[in-house]
Amino acid sequence: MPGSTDFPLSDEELTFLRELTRAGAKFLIVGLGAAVLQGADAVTQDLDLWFRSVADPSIAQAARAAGGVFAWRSVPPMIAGDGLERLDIVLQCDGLDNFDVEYAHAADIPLDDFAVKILPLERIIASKRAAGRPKDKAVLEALKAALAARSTLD
Amino acid sequence: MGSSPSRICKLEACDDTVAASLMLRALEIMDAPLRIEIDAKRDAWSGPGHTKRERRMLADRLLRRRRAERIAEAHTVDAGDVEHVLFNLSLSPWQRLARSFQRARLDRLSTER
Repeated sequence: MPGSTDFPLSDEELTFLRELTRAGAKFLIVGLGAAVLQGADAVTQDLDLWFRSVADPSIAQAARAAGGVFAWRSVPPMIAGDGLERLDIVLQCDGLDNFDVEYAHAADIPLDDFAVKILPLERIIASKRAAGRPKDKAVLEALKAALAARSTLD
Repeated sequence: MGSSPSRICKLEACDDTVAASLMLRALEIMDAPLRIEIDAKRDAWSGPGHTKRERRMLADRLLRRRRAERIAEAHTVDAGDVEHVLFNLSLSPWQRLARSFQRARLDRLSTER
């Protein structure tokens, strides 16, 4: 949890995510970061965020509250500022349904005094399969192992 | 023999997770003409140099590995990958991410050298 030595997010990242949640912005943590949060043994250095709409004004407000700025006209849109460098915005996820469908089946992960939604492991695997880049294929086996291990917990 | 029904059922079912000590007690009570001894020399986990804590760590690791092998076989995935996941699942989600970020930093440092 925040303040402990093994908490991965900067104060700025935590503020950004908290402000987004407080404002009711709809977003999902996707990609390898979401897989790692669910137990996959993989190495990642950023958190990918998928927003229902990057035109949502609460994104810029949250970035400002975290001491940064949201450049929504850049391609891809990006969040800039000290401590916010690891947050990436994705505009589309290969192999998935539209945002609302995926959001409806997302899992909640508690974070400090709020919770964030993440794409379930099965859907991350579908997305990586569809993307098909070498780096996506390289992690597929680790993701399948995570899914297998988690299935024994249910 | 003062054992629980589930332990007796395990014996009857030839379950290989039955502790050797239980099996020995059962043989003794049945007055079976068999002699079974535990060969401590062949037991990798009972080396004289191992403390109780070290034996516990080795046993935990071995249990996790065996569980991983069972899961891997059932799902046709790599047992080593599953074992790592089982360890990760003992951490909180955010501890898992911290560990992953840390490994990314180490990877980056090692490639910069």
